[in-house]
Amino acid sequence: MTRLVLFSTRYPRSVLAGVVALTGLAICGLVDPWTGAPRLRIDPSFEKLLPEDDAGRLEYEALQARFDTGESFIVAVEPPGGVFSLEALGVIAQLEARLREIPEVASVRSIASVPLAGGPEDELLASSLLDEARRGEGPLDRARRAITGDPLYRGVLVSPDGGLAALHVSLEPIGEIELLEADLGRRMEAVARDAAPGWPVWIAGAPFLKAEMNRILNSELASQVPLVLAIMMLVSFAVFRTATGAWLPVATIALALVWTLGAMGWAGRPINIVTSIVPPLILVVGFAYTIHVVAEAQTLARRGRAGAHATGLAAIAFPIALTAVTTAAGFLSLGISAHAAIREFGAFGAAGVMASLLAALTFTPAVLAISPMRLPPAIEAREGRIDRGFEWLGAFSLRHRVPILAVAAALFLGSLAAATRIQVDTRIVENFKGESLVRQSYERLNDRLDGADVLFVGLEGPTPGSLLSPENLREVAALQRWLEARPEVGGTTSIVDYLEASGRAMGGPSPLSAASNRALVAQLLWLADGEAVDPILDRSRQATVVLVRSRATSSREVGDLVAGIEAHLGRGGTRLEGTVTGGSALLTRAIDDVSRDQARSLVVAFALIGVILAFAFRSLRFAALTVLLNALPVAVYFGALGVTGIPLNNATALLGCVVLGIAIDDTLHFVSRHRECARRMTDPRAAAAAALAQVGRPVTWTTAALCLGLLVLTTSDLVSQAQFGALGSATLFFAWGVDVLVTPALCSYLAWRPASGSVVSSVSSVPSVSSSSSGPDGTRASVVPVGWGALAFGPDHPRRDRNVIEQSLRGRSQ
Amino acid sequence: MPRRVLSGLLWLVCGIALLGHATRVLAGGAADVAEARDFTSDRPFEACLEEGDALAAGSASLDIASRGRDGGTSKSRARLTWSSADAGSGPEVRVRLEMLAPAEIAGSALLLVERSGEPAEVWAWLPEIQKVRRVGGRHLNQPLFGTNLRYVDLERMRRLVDAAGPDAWSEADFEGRPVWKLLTRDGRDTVVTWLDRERCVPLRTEVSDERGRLSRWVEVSQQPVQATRAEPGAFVPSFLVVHDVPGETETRIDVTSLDLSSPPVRASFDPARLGRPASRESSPGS
Repeated sequence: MTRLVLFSTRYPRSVLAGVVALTGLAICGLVDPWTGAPRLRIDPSFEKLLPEDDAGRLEYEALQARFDTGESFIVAVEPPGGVFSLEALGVIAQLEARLREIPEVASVRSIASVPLAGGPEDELLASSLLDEARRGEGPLDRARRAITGDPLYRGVLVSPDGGLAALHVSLEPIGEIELLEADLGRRMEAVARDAAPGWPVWIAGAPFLKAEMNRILNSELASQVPLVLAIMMLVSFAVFRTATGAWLPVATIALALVWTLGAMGWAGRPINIVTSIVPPLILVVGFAYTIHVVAEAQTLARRGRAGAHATGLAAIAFPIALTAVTTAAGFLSLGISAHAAIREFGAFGAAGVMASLLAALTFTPAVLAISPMRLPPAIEAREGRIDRGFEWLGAFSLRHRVPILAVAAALFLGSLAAATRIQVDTRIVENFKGESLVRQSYERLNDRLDGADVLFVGLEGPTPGSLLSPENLREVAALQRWLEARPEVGGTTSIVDYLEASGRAMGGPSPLSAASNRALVAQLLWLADGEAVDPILDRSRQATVVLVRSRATSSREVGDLVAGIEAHLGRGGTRLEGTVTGGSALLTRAIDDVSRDQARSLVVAFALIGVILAFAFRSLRFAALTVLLNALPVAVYFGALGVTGIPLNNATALLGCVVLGIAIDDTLHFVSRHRECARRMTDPRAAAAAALAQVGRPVTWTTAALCLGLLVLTTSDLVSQAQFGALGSATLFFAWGVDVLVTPALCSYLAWRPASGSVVSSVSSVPSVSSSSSGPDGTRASVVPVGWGALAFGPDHPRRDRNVIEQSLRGRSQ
Repeated sequence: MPRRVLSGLLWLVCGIALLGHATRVLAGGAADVAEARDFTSDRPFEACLEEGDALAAGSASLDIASRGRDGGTSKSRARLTWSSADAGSGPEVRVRLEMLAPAEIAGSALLLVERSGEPAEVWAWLPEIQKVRRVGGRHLNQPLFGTNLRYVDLERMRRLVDAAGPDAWSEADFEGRPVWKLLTRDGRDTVVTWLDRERCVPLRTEVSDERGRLSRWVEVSQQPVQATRAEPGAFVPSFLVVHDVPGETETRIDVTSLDLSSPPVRASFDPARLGRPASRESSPGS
């Protein structure tokens, strides 16, 4: 790494040419240069998060192959005077026709056109509700009573009070990408608003949910990333007060972002709901790396060591590389996950970290070699104030180290205890803000209809023709009654409902009655509406599916419902074997699994980081200390989730990794610097104070930038993104507090083995407070331990360092 | 011509016997067009029309196998009886479908009556309920009898043939046989039918969506079924298969026997007698 920096500073133009070439290659991974078509896509589907051989996923796919359980849209309208009028039905019929004109639409069912079961005297299926409305008030009223009394329509196509009509829109076979790009939900909304002006319009259905998620992710990726970059640029300018200091860190992380996303494009992997966190992660991690490089450059400029620029920057390559490797290792630990999405997150997260490192150690030094940093005159006074603040903070931490450590330990243990109360729960619909059409639609349809979500209970008899048996049909009906008694279930539909409707219309006995037999059931099926029966009953009459309309919206509610149904099906004494599945069941389980997996992977990440640190520093104690200090903010974060009741979901679980990635970086800088100081000062307390004085400012600036950057996410239209931003910034602030209060207090107890005359590379530096011990021009340490309580300062050692160390020592002797 | 097309296509949905009739009407349409376009054909269209008349009434036994999207199949046997006559205002076609197997549905029957200029009328009889019920036109929008056959598909064909101008017809080859190709559009769909010029039989019909994706197609055997009394030159394919691509279903109808010798008695087509087996007039040759 050192050689890399040296090379970049000695051959900056060659390096910049290489950076341009690499960036061009990455852009080609993002967009096809010949066609302009995007290569990197966003895939907001949740089902694919599950492993391909997952039993639940296979079950669902088998059900989809066997029955037509494809996804559909629901377009709902609320006529001011209710559905049951000639005028309202005419508009609904017109809307149905216009929806059918949309090329991607295969069929539309609405209350206006579905056949009415039973007609005058000898008619089996006579007409539609609209036809009856045209015949007059009397026929319309009779049809209304028939419709609202029919379980196939009530709560499905029309609300029980007749105030809302739902049109079910099935799609032609269409690929997921085409579906997202078609923006069908919004087009249907526009059609509905045009066909029914002034009526409230609602759009629901899994495809709409995905499309909206995709739209928001796309739009926010385009708006928030530049905003975050702008904020970081402002912070950089506030830190360095030079134009180069403002744009260079931002340009560096932007490059790392393009490289990483380009790699995803070349790998043919879309951004999914897990890997969508990689871009902000790169911004967060990469910013810290490049800030350290630029800060070192400014320090060198301050000391007028322009000639020592190359070696000065090279000195910080090792610690930055070490932090990057440990962070990348943390991500790579996710490779053990069974979920492809998590593995991808780990791989691209690690790739992003390494890309950030590469950019920070090549692009940044090369630019600095061409355009050296300047030092504004006003910076000295401001930095002096900040450094005095850290001096005071260091002294405070050392003076109260016992209570501070006691509080930290109590907080750690308390957090662990609180973390056991975390509930894994994902609310897909509530992830959209309250004013969004998706959320309002779901809430409205859940309120007015049987439920906007559908689960499938697959039932299979022992032999072909099993479902012609009235006994087995009675079992299906009993299951429906049990399901409908559950509060979260709005209604159910099964082959029994169709058979009963046909039986009534034909004027014969109920297929469930004692008078029923296999012949009656078979004959009713022979005459039945094939389009309605085929999706729920197989041709061999051995398997069927019961549609369960549910109002459950959270993964916990859906999971409880699924578990309850499975328990009911598994109680024995039935001839039909049953399974429960469905897009929402699979989706919520996938997200919950991913969330749990991410949380579990943190443990592996900690272990892996510990091993790397122990190996790199050949010190178990160093590794243990670093890991312990990073465990505190992570534990507090998860403890806060347990206390506040914020559930562990895909966003909040991901934050654990991000916190770890950032916290490990800052802690590593501090502990490494402390070890370096302690080896020369002998007194660990003085070393702790000195270390804080040296790393406090860059750590604070990077934390401030990251917190502000994350706060941008709080403007997101997705609640999980907003939570991610708010919780992330709060946790990073807490991690900063740990670094400036707890870490010095803990380190003050640690006496490191003195270095045997070797020059230890600096970990990091800040403007004006530098690792003068690692003189880039080969000078030896300017702070040399000569005995307990006594230090020798070199002639070029900054006065502030002396003050800090002397003050610390005075505090200790008192 | 339009009503004759309707009759032919109606037969198509119910079974193989329609093919002769369909040929007749399609060929009739083609004849009109051929005259307008000056088609060169080695066989006059009028010959097709005459041969089609030989299939105006009769009965056939059908084996129906339907495969669902799950791969499961259902099999049934049925008898199709038909009769067509001029009702003054136009042709009247009556088709009766009576199920023979499996045992659970044996005896179930359906009667379809089409008169020129009127909506089709359908009656159903279920032995277990012992009642005749009229089935509304809307029910005919749906796949029928556990198959993927839809009556509306035939209505659509009729409409398309009626609307097709001379430009819609062209001469072509289909698997080595000379055919008339009928290319029509219906909303977003494109419908192509290949009509065998020599045998006067539709060989294949394809329905594609606006993106050119095949959504539904009917393939017809080029092997003739043996009639109990063969009419000179009359060709009735031995089977047809209807494929529904999006629904992933397939229905195959095999004609196991064809009897053109003894026309069914008119009373067999009375809705009130739907519960009784169809009877035929005594065969002249018997």
